[in-house]
Amino acid sequence: MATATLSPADKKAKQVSQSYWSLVWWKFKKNRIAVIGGIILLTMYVLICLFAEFVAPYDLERRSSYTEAPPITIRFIDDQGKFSIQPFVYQYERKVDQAIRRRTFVENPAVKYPVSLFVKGDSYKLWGFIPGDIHLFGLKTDDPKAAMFLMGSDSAGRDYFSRIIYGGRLSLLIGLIGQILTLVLGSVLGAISGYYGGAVDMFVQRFTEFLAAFPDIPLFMALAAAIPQYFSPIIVYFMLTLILALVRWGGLARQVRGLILSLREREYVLAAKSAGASDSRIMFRHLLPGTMSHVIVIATLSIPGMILAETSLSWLGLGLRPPLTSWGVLLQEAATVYAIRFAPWLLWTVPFIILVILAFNMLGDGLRDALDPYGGR
Amino acid sequence: MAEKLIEITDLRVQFDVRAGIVKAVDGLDLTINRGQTVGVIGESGCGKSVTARAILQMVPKPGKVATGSILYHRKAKEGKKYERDEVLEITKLSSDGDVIRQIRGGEIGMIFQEPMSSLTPVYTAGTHINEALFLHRLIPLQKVGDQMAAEMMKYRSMTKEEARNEAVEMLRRVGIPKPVERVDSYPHQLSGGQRQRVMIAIALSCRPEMLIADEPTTALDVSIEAQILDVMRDMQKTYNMAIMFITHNLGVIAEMAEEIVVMYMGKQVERAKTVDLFYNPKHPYTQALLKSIPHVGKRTNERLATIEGMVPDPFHLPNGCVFHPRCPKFMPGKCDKIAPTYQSVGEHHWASCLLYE
Amino acid sequence: MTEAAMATNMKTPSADDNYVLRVRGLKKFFPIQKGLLRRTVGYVRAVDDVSFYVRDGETLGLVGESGCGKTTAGRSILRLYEPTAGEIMFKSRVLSQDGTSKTVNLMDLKPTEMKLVRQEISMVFQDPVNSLNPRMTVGDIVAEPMVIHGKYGPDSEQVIISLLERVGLRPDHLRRYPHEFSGGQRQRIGIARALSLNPRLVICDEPVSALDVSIQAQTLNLLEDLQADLNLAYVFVAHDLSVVQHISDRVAVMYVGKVAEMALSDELYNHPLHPYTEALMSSVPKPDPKYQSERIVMQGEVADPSNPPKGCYFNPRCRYAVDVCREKTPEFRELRPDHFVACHRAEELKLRGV
Repeated sequence: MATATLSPADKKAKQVSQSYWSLVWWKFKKNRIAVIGGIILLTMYVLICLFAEFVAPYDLERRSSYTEAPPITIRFIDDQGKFSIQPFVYQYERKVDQAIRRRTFVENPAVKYPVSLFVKGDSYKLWGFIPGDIHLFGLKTDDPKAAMFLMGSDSAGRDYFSRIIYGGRLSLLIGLIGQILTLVLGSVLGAISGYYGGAVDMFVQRFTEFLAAFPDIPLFMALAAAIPQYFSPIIVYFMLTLILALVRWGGLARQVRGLILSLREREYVLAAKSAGASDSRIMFRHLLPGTMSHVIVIATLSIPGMILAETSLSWLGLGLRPPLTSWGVLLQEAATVYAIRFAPWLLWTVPFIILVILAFNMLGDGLRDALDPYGGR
Repeated sequence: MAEKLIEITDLRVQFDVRAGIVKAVDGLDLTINRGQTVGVIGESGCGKSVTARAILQMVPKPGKVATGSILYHRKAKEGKKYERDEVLEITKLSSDGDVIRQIRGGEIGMIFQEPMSSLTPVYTAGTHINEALFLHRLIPLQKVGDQMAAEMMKYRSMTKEEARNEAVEMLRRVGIPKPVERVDSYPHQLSGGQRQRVMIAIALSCRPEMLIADEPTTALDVSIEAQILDVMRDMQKTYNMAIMFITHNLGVIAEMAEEIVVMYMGKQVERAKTVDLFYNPKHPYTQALLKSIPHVGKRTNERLATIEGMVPDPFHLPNGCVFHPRCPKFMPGKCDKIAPTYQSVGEHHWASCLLYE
Repeated sequence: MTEAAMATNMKTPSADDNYVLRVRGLKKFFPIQKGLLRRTVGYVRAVDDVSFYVRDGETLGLVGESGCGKTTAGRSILRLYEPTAGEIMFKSRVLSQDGTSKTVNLMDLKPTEMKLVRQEISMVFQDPVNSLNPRMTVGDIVAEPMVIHGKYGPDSEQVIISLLERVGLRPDHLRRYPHEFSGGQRQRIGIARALSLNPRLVICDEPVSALDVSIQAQTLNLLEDLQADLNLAYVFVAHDLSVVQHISDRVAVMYVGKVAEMALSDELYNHPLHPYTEALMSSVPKPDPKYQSERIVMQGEVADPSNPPKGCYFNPRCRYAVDVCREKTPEFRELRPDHFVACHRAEELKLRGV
């Protein structure tokens, strides 16, 4: 066929033809708040989940003698008022506060360490197999006494910022993975329930009602408490994810069921049936894609719930336990009067959690509007 | 001389959407007299429903009336809020102001195609009628806004009880069996024909000056359609109201309308008395439309005459006459260059076609 | 079957062997369930003892008001609804080994065999919006039957393009989505899908009801052309009597789950034998302002199929009803050659056609 004659038509088709998802994207882009939320989340997930080792200036287990050091300030101007284009930090200096008989750290202007991007530091294995020792930022010095604790350090002298980054990885992933499990469980069971009806529907519906009748947190607690203590932390992590998903799929399943019930009366489903399509084809090709937009919104809006559930469980001591570090674990460590009184920087986890949850809600609201591109035009 | 009720001059309604501007109605002139039935026919997207909505100042966003005027000759009537005759320019009214809200439903009633979706399923048929009465015949309802309530108290002409009785009476008039029981039933308990009767009852319960019927029988069976058309004709006689009958069904329009406007792509292509239009259509589009329908009882083994091609993309309307790409009487060099003007082609007969220029 | 035997059996709506589909005694009752235990308290007799046949390459119109069971009957043929009772004989080519037709009762087929038969019987649906999956491209939609039956190969895209062209669409429409098309075009997509496996019988469920007048004419012509070219048989389900008359060779009029009358199209319209047919045809608004008809307005509503009246279902609305009509269900019989009617008074009544 003559390509020359076809190509203009093709081009025109490309311009005109917009799939459902491209319309969604177009509409989503117009919602500034949602886009901001999306960008925040994307940045956090990429930086924290994929590149925690690179972003965090120190290794998770790197201890220093500076215990409970306050956050350090990155400076451009030194105590003599001299400006330098290269930012720097002062050295920590131990000092004993006589009044409360407590050891504290103050900045010592006598020793300066330059701060720089892409510095050599603790070695790590990115994703478990790419060795590296370059960090996004850090101190460019070999002095073993040098330390830069952006958000202070904990009682073991670990960099708190690094711990938040590493802890975020577990917390953010538990939300995402748990939600994906919920989504799969909820959609498939909801779809089966709605499509087949009858006894299957009856069973699934009663079961979700049974689950819904339990208050979330006590149920989590009971299940989490049942995880044997001797399990390795990583298995505990996955079991916890699974528990979160198992408790939460019910609501989604009900919504999917409702959607399927209305979609299965559409003539295109009958058309597929009349052509001899199998049940699974009808379900996965015709019914579930139609519910996807709805499901995605629900999922986005309930990831924060997942993250909070993990955080609450860990905070209660029933979820993840050290040496695993998650935001919940970090919060648990900070949950003492002592910490709030003497090391308030340990609460730096809180703004991170709030930011993530806000961003998810912003994104979810935007998606909800965008996923219905045919309506409201 | 017939009394004018609605006078539309050079109405243009545009929709500003992402892909460009759609001229949904493009230069419509139409006069509807009191007690007259005007039929508007055309295919979907020709602008007939948008015209109806423009009359009620209800053009959906992002559409707006660009130019033109819709004059509504309002006449003082007992039981209505206004007291003197006046001429209202509907396009200048605020789309959610008091005046237009009285006109909507109160003075110009509307019935739609889909009986089920235009009735909210949770209300009983009685509530629906009362709702229309409350909104447009000014009967106080407890939980309506204070301003509105005060307004209503001033014109109190009915109690809730009375409204309910009136609802029963209207249901009886539109031919619903056992209206006293039916007034308490929910829409889903009614059949499609009954629902449409309820819609008519709602529209008529306010004694409108005009009824806009947008495809009122399209979703109904012929036997029910016949009944509904009978009801509408009866009601028209009883209340001397005008009807703007929008449909694509040429059979229905032939029975109902005295005068017909044919629309195509937002433009009026022809307007004439019904008999003239059916027996002496001037515009090629009208001619083709009439030929393309199968007539019951007149079976031929021939193929139906069709209008070739498709309705053009509203964003890229053809130059000249919008119908020229599909027109069997297309004159090259003329129809694709010059836009026809709408002009008289006979006694009370207008068309916009270059054949007559 | 010998010719003599065929001749004698011509009198019943079933014995003629020149059919592609023959339905006898088809019933589809939907249970009405109530309460927590979903006890069945009654049945909606959507299709209530229906018999008809379709000859090879002809169109049988199935006409009636909404709720008369015409759509259910159409869908029951393909067992989209599992029929309650009856016999659906179909001359299948795929199920015979030697390429000839093999008469099978669709009710007796195993799911695997039924799936094969679905290649030969396809459907065109009413709603051009709902009958196409909005998330699939036109190409995917038309290809779907091929994919389901494992017949999608490297050449299939070319086949689909030629199908699209055959129904009046352009090749570049292949990758577009249904929402970009007008109603008439969508219906063409639906028709292309129905033809993608070279069916023998197409069940058209109100295929033009949702279309504009000019598009309706195009679509009807397209269906007629396709029928002539591909020797298709149609079961044309519709409520529009003029459209049905135009396209059908024979017409069956249904009322509350039963066939009231079945005859050749002209015969039915000119010499109806059933009072319902007469009233129905007089109710159709004629596109002719000078046409003066005395319309027979049927009183009341269509009978409730879950609680039909005793005797003839039409008797409460029938102006000719006598005692026997209120007592006995009329038999569906062949009163004139190829003209079947279910009315006690068919012989004596003089009804007018259009």
